[in-house]
Amino acid sequence: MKTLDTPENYRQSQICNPNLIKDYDGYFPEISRYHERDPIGFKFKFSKRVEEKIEPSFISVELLDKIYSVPSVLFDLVDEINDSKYILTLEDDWDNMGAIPISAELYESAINFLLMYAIYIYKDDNKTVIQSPEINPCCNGSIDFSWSTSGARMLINVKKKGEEFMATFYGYHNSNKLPFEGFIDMKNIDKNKASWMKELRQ
Amino acid sequence: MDEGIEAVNEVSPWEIQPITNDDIVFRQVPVSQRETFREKKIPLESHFALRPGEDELSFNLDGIIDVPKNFKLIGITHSRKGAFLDCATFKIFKFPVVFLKTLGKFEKIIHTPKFDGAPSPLGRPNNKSHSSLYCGEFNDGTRAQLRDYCKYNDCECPIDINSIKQEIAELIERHTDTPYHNYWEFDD
Repeated sequence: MKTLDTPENYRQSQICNPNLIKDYDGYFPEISRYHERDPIGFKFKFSKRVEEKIEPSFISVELLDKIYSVPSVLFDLVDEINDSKYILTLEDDWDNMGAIPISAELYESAINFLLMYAIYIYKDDNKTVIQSPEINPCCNGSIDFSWSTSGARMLINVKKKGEEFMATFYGYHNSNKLPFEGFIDMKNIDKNKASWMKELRQ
Repeated sequence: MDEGIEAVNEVSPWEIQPITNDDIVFRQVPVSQRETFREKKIPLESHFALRPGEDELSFNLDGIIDVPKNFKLIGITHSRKGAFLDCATFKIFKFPVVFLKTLGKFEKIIHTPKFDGAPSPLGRPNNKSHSSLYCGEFNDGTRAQLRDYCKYNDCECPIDINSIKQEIAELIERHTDTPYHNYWEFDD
């Protein structure tokens, strides 16, 4: 996180936070620490026009031969995806106990599915950012996405069945602990399940 | 325990021991040595996934084996590629049988000692303590339950690997002339 050690940094932090901009209606005491000589000069008020200009920025994640554009607030998810790329390098018997490698097609399909749901939830639910899951390879050639948040627990497993990729899941909301499990559509957003997954927010 | 013993043709000299609610079983999991900046709490759900062709998850029965012996057993076992496994790349977790029986898809847990002759081949020691947990296909819910149990309970069985390294080296030098490759008759 950027430190607020200068007025410019402080001002930037406010610009990046629309909620604070909306709430702002006066004088920030913190600013006066840096401008004791002339605090009046910082009694500004953001206009509606400035607020409307704020657009979400994007970051890119490169996956095999594709580049995905992701809202920058999902930077932690992008970090986890980048960290998981080692999965593509796993060879036969990668755990010394007979594990089979994860195919590039499965990996790509799984990450595409993960991004699709994370971006949908962000756009559909008032900019809800879900926590990034752990992305782990399984010895049977499948991939796990594992979440454990204050709101919910969820495990999604992406595997190949026949010629198709499929995702199964298990989870519960911490509020009621009722188990929820089954299949998730990997090609289209399942709105019910996406709604359920909002509890995976940070 | 999933360690490359593919076929056991010899008749086991050991009686099958009943496993009760009071028993504890050990599960050994390989730990990735990959450097990563994102910390993950071991074990992962993936450590409880079945391999192709498997229908049971392997454990070792406490009482017949203990944690140091379990690590030594790992250290004298060959990987699929024929090299001895490095026991420093494994962790061992203990599970009460009474917990395993609460798993949603629990079917049974039974003592299934592995005997492959006396002596058994180099790199394929016998395992008198081997036990098998059956929980269907170990679906996502079962694997999540197993991981979460470790997360919220003190399951890891730590060991100072350096304290047993010398002993493992000596066992390897003895080739198949070890209790592990024979009838599991230990002096201690």
